[in-house]
Amino acid sequence: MGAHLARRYISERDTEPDPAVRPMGFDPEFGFAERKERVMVATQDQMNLAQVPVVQRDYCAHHLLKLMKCKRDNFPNFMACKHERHDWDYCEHQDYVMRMKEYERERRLQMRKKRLEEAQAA
Amino acid sequence: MNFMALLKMWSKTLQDSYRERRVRYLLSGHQEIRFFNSCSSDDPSKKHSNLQILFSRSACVFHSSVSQPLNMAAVGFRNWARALSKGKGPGFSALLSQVRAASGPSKDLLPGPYPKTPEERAAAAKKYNMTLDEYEPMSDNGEGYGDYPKLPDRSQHERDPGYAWDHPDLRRNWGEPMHWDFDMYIRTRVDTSPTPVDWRTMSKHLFGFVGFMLLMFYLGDQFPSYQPVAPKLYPYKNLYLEKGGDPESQPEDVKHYEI
Repeated sequence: MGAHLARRYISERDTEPDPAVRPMGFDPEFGFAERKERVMVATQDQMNLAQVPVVQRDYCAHHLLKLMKCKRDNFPNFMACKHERHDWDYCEHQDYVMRMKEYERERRLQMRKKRLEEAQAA
Repeated sequence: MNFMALLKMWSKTLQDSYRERRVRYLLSGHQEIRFFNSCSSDDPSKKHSNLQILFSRSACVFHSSVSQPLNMAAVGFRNWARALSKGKGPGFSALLSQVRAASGPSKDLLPGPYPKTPEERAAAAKKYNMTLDEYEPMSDNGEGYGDYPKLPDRSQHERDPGYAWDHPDLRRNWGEPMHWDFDMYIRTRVDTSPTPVDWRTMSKHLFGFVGFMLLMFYLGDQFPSYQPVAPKLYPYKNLYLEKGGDPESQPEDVKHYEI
């Protein structure tokens, strides 16, 4: 925990990616034989009609729509919709894991790039 | 004794006490009756309404003040009142101006002149119930303190709470000289009692903590902490339309991949 900060500020200051400043700049297809594209299920019209907040209009919005509908249909029963909530939470969790993997991919590609440049220079 | 008799007795008691209170009120609080009795030749046993008593009292004061030195402010007030009442002579307002205001300190409550000789100093110390060693007049810098004693600037909170003070709330004895700013140093206001640690230690702790916090804020600003994750990706061109983008000039769609 915090190892990325030590690398970023102390040990590997030139290769550690900073998501706030440095955009992820490598070819997304690089290193993959075939890469599956992310699918957005909910349409913009559906999200507009459901008045979903902008920050929640991500790739899990269709789970959120189902959860909102379930909560509306079971209104007084706040204990209902456990399954819907879990589906949405799991989707968001997977999304976060993907972001972690993307960060790690970026970090390793940066290290590889530096290693190749050093090998070329030597 | 039956109930009705009890009720009658009770109402009689109430009436008596009310009448007694009324009489005492008129005799003690309102001096008009005495003025009236001393200044008027009317029969004191004759009944008067309150208004008549007030008028006769004013007239009495007016007559009795002729021999006294004239108050110039009162004369000015009377001239104004006469001018405003269009020369009808001294009316009721002129009588009113002769009534001295009941507020403000009287002359014997004000401090005397600044003591210059040792004898004056001794007299002033005696006046303020102080020994000659304790007595130190306030500086004579023209602010009108006169011979008022200069007392140490200590709050009443410092005084012993266990001692049987004449006035425990103020922690003060009867006849004790009173600080010029006594109202500032009562227990609910300024407190000059010593602090648990001295001023230097308190300053060191406070400014040490504040300085440490400022340093940590600066370091946190220079080296921010963050989670090691890539930025979150949103569909529909990163929600271009949802964030208020122009529909006419939409950016190119970027493909997002699973990993």
